[in-house]
Amino acid sequence: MLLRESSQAISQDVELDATVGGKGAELIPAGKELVAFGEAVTKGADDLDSARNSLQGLLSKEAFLEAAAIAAIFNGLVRTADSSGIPLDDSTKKNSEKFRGDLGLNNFPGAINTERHTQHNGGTLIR
Amino acid sequence: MSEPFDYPASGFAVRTSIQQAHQNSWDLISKPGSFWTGEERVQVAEQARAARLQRAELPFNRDYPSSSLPDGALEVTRTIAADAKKINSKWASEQIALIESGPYIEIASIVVTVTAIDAFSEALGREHEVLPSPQPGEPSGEQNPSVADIGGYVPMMEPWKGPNVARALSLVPAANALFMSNVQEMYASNGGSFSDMVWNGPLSRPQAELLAARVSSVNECFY
Repeated sequence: MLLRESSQAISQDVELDATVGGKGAELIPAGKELVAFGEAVTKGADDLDSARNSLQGLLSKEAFLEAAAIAAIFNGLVRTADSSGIPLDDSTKKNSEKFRGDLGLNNFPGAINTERHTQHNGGTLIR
Repeated sequence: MSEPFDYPASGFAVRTSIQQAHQNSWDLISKPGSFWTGEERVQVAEQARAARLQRAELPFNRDYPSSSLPDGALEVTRTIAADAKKINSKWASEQIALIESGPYIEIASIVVTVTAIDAFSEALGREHEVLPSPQPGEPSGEQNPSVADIGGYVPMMEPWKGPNVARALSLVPAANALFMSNVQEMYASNGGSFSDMVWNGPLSRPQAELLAARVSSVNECFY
């Protein structure tokens, strides 16, 4: 999933909470500013200029450009997933089961697609 | 007239490979695709941009440029651009019944590509790039024969190696290539590979994943 290998890269629960607006981003360098920047780019928020300036003050020019690219391309990737209805692959579905539940991701509208996929393959529903 | 996506002129040392991917995307959008003409594809891009810029507004409060696209194509374009999290199986089935799955996927690829490229400009604090002028020609009709129903709204390539999401648009190879070329350059950077999940960027892997995951979460994207 797009939270994908973050279950390995962001292994601590407190940091995973940060991805859904909880605490813990500060445990990663510039984490709070990265979260604020990602939110502002996604929402088209009035505070985008402020979020950008804060992040630029903490990152190298190269790292800031990479953050801009990641925030941008993920706004495309999520629409790819939502518009195609692509279900999670089996291994990701299994490996992400606990944190999907913990973070409430199964309540997002697209969760039904993986349920449909599971039913399609005769498996057990994920929730 | 300067070339499109002249990031250095705007003061940004964007990697040449990203600049080229964006230039190439604009060129491809302006040309006939598998199911839509260049004129129609540029109209999709224009509608997608307008819809996304008004995503905070309720749908009935949004204004759009005039268009000769069929109603079904407009609905698909605007919804993916501005309300993707609301898409469900019923809506997708209704739209695909109107315009068919290949044309649906081609529209999706243009919308997500314009979204990513426009969002990059916004993230940098620069103006959106002017959309390209349409080029003449007829659509190719090309569609991937090696697809299966894997439980999505549309058939996808099966079997598949690599990141699962990279096959979401695989029903239409040219559509998939349009967007995934940008994913390769914007996410899997500095010699890394989206397929191999090798990470060599200036952000640490946890920083990159935190940002990516937060963007996904704000979009309420389960995937």
